[in-house]
Amino acid sequence: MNGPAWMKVVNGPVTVGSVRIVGITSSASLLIGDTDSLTLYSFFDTPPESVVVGPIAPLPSPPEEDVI
Amino acid sequence: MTVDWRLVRAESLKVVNMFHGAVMQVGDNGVSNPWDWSIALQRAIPDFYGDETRFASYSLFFRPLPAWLPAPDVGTESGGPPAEIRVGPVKVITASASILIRIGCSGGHSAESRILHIRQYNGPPPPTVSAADR
Repeated sequence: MNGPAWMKVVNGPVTVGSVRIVGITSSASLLIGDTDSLTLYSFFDTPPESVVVGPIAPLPSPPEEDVI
Repeated sequence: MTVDWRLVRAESLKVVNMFHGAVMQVGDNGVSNPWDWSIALQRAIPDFYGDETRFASYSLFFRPLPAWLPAPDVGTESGGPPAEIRVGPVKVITASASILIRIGCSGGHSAESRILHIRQYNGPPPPTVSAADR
């Protein structure tokens, strides 16, 4: 194909039944719809001398109805 | 924005716990740029040093953002007549540092999160204090 590529998007109706999420992380997004662009950065650094034992802040158990 | 506006019909939305750069929106928006820098420091023996809770002490918070690799130009065109978004029940338990939850249309979105996370323990960390005990 000659010349620059071209993409055409037609944004039509959107129907979503149900969404259930348990935990999305550092630069997380949940988008139901449209966007021009999406750029996510995330850095995580734990120095090697750290000793990690157990969770730092344990979350309570989710309600029974939300357990997948 | 890709389309001028959207009509959103959401049945229900339930979120337990979001985090620092939080946005939760039902509807349209322009450009959004949430960012979050965090330092989490927890230590068995409280021998904290003077500068270790400053962002300036760690190079992680000053590293340049990754750059895009060169790519061929692609022209884009998007749009269409206003159309509905219909969503059933949405449940989220936790999200994290630079989160965004949106039902609708928007312009560009760019999020940044940098977390340094120091924990120094020889055994289990102390139990957390619940809100009811404070």
